Amino acid sequence: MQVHIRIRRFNPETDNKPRWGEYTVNDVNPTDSVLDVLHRVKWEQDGTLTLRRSCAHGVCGSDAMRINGANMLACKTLVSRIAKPGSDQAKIQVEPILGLRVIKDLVVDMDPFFDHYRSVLPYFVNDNVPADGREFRQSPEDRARFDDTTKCILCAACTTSCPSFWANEKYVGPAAIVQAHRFIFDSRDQAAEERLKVVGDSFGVWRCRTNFNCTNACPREIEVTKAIAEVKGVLARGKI
Amino acid sequence: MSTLVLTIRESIRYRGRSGHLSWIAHRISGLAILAFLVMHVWDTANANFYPALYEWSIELFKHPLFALGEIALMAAVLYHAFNGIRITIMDFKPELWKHQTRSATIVWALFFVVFIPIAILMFRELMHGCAARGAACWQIPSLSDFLN
Repeated sequence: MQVHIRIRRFNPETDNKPRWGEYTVNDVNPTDSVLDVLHRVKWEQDGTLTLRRSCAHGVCGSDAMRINGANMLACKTLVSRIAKPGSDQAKIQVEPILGLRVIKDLVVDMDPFFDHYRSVLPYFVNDNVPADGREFRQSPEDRARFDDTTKCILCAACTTSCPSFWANEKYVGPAAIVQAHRFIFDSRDQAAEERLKVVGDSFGVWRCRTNFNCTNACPREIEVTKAIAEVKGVLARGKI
Repeated sequence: MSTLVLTIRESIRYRGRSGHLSWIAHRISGLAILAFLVMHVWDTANANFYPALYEWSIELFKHPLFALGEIALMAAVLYHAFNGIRITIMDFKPELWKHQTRSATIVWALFFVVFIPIAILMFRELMHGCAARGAACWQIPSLSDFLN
């Protein structure tokens, strides 16, 4: 099939503002991903096209971008999902994720995103020695409380789909709250109070407007808005 | 580009689903209510500080355009209230998130069921009032008439 792809281009050395680059790619397989099409553009038509990708299989989270208006992973989005059923043509529009400074083309500065990630102490904290000297035990029920939020791959699709983050990059954002949730609800962890201080301040969970963009954008199908609401509940009730 | 302009533009451009559309409607209805409250506080304050201005504004509010604005205000209040309840329930009962699309649809349905009869009643009242006043209905009262 034939794919017409519009890509938001920006080269800080030559462009004053972003522009659209338009390309046509032939002989695309419907089961090819948008990342495959971007590769074809870069390898066959314009080598200056700049994008991030690593594993290309939905694990590393490098290639989050706005595809036809909504955040997705380019490697997990098949052309057949975008093309009209039965059509041998597809129109794709690709833009960088929003709310982070564009470095070049589809590459954004992820530093503010990872600063928020680090701010919630995204690691296990427990200085005690396990009772059996080997490991901290946990019931399956306790493990299930944060199972969903262990799946995050830090692609930033959720945070950059959030209007509150577009409006103010100081907002800690859905991805960091998901990370906080993963440890706050871990019965073995001891730093919940410190994390709740971060997510409970004025740039924390209360900036969430419950519009579910983050849940819809998550390529790992994490129930992000639910996780945020659970953290809100902990802050409101004062107990985990 | 200012963050405000970017946020407004991209909120419209982003291809969100029902939750995003509800959020946009919630914001617009909230701003409409805020605009009404600002105007309301202003004209009520005039009753104390500038009584003539207050009298003029009360006369001005009888104009059909303001009556239509009241219908729009009713729409804003109803949608904001119903959707606000939905969001509050979603925040207090996170396990209901799976029903988010259905809940947004229910809010729209509830809104239209309540708003349409009210809008018809308000519009009929507007038309009757205007018919009784004749051509004067469309005249904007002159401020100088009230200041003298």
